[in-house]
Amino acid sequence: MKAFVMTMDAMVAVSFMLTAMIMLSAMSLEPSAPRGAYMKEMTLDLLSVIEKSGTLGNLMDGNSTGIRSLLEATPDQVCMSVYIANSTGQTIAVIPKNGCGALGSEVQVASRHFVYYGQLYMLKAESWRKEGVG
Amino acid sequence: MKGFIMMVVSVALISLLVVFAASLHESHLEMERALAKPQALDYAAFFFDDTADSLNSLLGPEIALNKTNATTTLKISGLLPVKNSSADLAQYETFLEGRFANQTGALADANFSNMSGGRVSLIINEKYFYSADPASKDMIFSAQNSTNASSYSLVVTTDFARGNYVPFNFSSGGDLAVDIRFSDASGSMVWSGKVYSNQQNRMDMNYSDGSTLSIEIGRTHGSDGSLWMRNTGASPAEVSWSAILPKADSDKRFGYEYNASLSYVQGPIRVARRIGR
Repeated sequence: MKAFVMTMDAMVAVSFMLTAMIMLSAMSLEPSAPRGAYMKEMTLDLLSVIEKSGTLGNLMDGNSTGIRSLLEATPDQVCMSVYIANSTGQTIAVIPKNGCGALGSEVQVASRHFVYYGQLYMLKAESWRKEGVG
Repeated sequence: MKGFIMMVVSVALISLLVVFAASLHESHLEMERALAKPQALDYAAFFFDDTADSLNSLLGPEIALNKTNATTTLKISGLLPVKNSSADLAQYETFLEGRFANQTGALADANFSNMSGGRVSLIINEKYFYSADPASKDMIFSAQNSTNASSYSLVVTTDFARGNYVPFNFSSGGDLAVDIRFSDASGSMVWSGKVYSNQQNRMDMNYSDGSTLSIEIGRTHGSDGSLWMRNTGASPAEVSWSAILPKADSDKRFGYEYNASLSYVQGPIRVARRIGR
């Protein structure tokens, strides 16, 4: 009887231990930059680079090569799309990154605005994690 | 009894581990929240930056400020008279407060009332004031009492032929150097000399389209060492001028601001200030 109780006691203790280990392994214990914040900053940075590098003017003139190159230079595990809309919100250009499908579950969005030949436009970028990469 | 005690100790230790892990996880989430919280400041910075750029694209003028350890050089280029941008300003204000603020999930309130009538109004280096008014077809650069400018250089370009003119009355003992270049259908003409900064000095240039381009340098519009120009013509003249000013105060913001304000609210972030560089 005593041995049985001790065995049960040991099994309960082992169960607790296993439960604790499972819970611990499920938790992310290493501090890391939050993925959402990182993606958001990257999206904002992309818009800044588009604006400062002059590729925005090229795009407005119908040349999207510069923006496509910038999108391809972003990390493989990140998908992005850039949109230009006029002041009424009508989308006039969409440039997606190659190899990216539908929007992911967590999409980061950033918007800026600019004037081109006296007209107001909005520049928007969306970013999300590419499925199955990284 | 011994087994029971061991079990209690084990359970207590495991519970401690779980609580410790949970608190670590919570601190990680807290760090994520702390990192994400100031992101709205980034959005606000972009918003003000874009607004300054857009306002400059819509209204002008081209403005450049350079400083050395002895002087500050201000250069402004644009059309005279400036075009009336009232409609552009109104449309832009509506766009900022409406569609764009909605898209970014922010509340924006733009106040362009000091630039009504399409007047371009700038505060430069927190001290000087520039205003160009399409209604009176003039521009003025001045300061509270005196600009303390040591020299002005002006380049005026029009398409019309020069008619008669009344030149500046230069004085060799003056304290303000002036260099003016006219470039028009009649060719180029240069005047250089010195005037007194505390006296009104004026010149008028008449053109073949019936317009008159008038320039006052010195004491004008209540401020010494100031610059005033008016072009009465229907077609604007291209005007580029620069002023050598005293060394900029190190405690003052070095830049310019439109006399227009913008307030931006997003979550806990609230920013309100003039629009400029």
